[in-house]
Amino acid sequence: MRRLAVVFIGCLIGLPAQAEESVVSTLAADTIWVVTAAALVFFMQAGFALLEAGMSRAKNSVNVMMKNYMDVCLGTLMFWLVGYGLMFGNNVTGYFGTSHFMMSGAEPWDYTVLLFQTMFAATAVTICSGSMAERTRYDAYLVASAVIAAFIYPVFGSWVWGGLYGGSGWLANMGFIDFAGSTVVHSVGAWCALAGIMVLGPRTGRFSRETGEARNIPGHNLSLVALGGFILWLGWFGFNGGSTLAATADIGLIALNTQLAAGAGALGALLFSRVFRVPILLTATVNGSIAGLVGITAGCASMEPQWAILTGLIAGMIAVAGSLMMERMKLDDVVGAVPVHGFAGVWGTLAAGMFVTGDLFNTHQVMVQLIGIVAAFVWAFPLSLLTFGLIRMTIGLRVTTAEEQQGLDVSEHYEVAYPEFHKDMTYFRQ
Amino acid sequence: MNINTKRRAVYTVLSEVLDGDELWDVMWRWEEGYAQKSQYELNGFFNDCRDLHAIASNRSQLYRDLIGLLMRGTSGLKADPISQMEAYRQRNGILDNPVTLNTHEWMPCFSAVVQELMLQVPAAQVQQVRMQAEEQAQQRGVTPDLVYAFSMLALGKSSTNLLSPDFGELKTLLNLVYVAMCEQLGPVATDRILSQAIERARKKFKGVDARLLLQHRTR
Repeated sequence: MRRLAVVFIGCLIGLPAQAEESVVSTLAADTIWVVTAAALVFFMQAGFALLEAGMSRAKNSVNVMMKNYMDVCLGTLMFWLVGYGLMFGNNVTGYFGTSHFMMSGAEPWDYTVLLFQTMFAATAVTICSGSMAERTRYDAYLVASAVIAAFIYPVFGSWVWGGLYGGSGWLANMGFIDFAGSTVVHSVGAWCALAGIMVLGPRTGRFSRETGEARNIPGHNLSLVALGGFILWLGWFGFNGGSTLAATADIGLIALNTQLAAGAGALGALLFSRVFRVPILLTATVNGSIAGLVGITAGCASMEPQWAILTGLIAGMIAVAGSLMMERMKLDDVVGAVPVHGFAGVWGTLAAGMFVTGDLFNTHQVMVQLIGIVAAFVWAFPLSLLTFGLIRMTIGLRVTTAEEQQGLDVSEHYEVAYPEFHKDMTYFRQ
Repeated sequence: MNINTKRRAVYTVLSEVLDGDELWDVMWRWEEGYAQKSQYELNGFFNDCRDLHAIASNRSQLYRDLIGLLMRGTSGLKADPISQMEAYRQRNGILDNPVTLNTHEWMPCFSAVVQELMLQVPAAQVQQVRMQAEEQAQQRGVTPDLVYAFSMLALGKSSTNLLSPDFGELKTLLNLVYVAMCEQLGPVATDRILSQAIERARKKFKGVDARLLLQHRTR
């Protein structure tokens, strides 16, 4: 009896110390996981760079790489400067944050979240790069990229994910589900891209002037496209898994759903191509899997695997159908970013509302999802249209036809990607 | 507005703040980098010249004056300084730009490239390429003689005796032909055809490098 009493007293004394130790180790585990996830999301930039460069002509590949590279650099700085504060700062109104700009002197966890979210901002920005490839002025693109990272993306983000330091976003208050950003990151990026390609116009000769027929402009290296697709897929485990912001057991389902949706997306692209007798292209297959990934991003934590497969499958079909629709509308999206990130993002956000575990096909939830989808478009599209329009009027957005012919690698960077293999001498370098 | 008039306007404005070799050096910067571009890009030109105090300190005034002159047309413009610019280059032994040193050699080279291009365009589309390029060239202020010479070439006839065309205009016209071909044949085929035409002209005309017809200033 006496021994029992001693043990009981000993436990009472030891509990707070153990609890404190447990909190510290949980924080450490969370930090390790989120920082690792951030690194994976960062690696996605390499995937985007390879995919976009591969889908572009050889004479523009340095330019595409440069844009992707600088997206990360510029996006990181702009997001630290203002983006994070606007997105996650104290959100009293529900429309934007007002604290934590230029974060310093903060808690360790704040730095972790900032790092992770910085990678998301860079991802949103870089979606424009591929769409607008092969005819955009480098400096003009960087200005637009800075505006998106500093303002357009974070303000919308604050509506859904805002209020980390008080308050909350108006869409979040309505119950909008977007776990890792089908709408917040991907659709917003895609609507900016859509505005960009509308202001820019198509590449010279992309569409026949008389008949409007779309002319194929093949990318220069499909191996890069496939490699880029694989890297993006890998990075997506960090993108979705890291969005838990905690090293929890949920990550297993999230990662599995991510994997299933990606596979189903590629299959969806294949099935669509077969049914509608469109050639089964590598680019369409890779885009199909990425569309699957975009689609599952919103609901990866809240749906069962069978629904994740359906979400991915339909997203893959949407990506191929969307590309064809864009062509018919004479919108020249070099890598198909708008269908993949925009249209599939819309579908994924809807799916996240429809396939909630234990609450399937809840009409109210679907309506909330629709409101969020429309809000993203109404916010991002006109604002980026204005941004690109202003850039066109002031510093100029598009290169000249002479520079387009020469290739942006030479005209913008005075560098060529393949000096020894470039067979078509359409450029000249002294 | 043609390049000669634009050159006169730039010279008129710059000669107020610069003189001697410094003036000719800046005139060449404009000639090689901005002569083909729209007036909206002149701000970039002045930005490129910010290393010169006389320009950096009067930049906005110079820009306004230049835009004003370009709007007014030819009234109040000084004479075309191209011969003085060439003399400056020859005096300083700057031979990296063969353009003005052997202008008479460029027309045969240009003609060969255009003929080669037109041979590759399907007969049904030659007319459209020619008309589009002509129309655009006229809108850009390319000298009518050169546009006519191009029309003759496109129709498979020999070129007129246009001995010393402006090299910048040749490049502009070739680019317009390229754009028109892109519209008809698509950019992939056009890039290939253009490359072949340039390579053949390079082999045929040793005195000039046909690739320079494709050279445009890098930013």
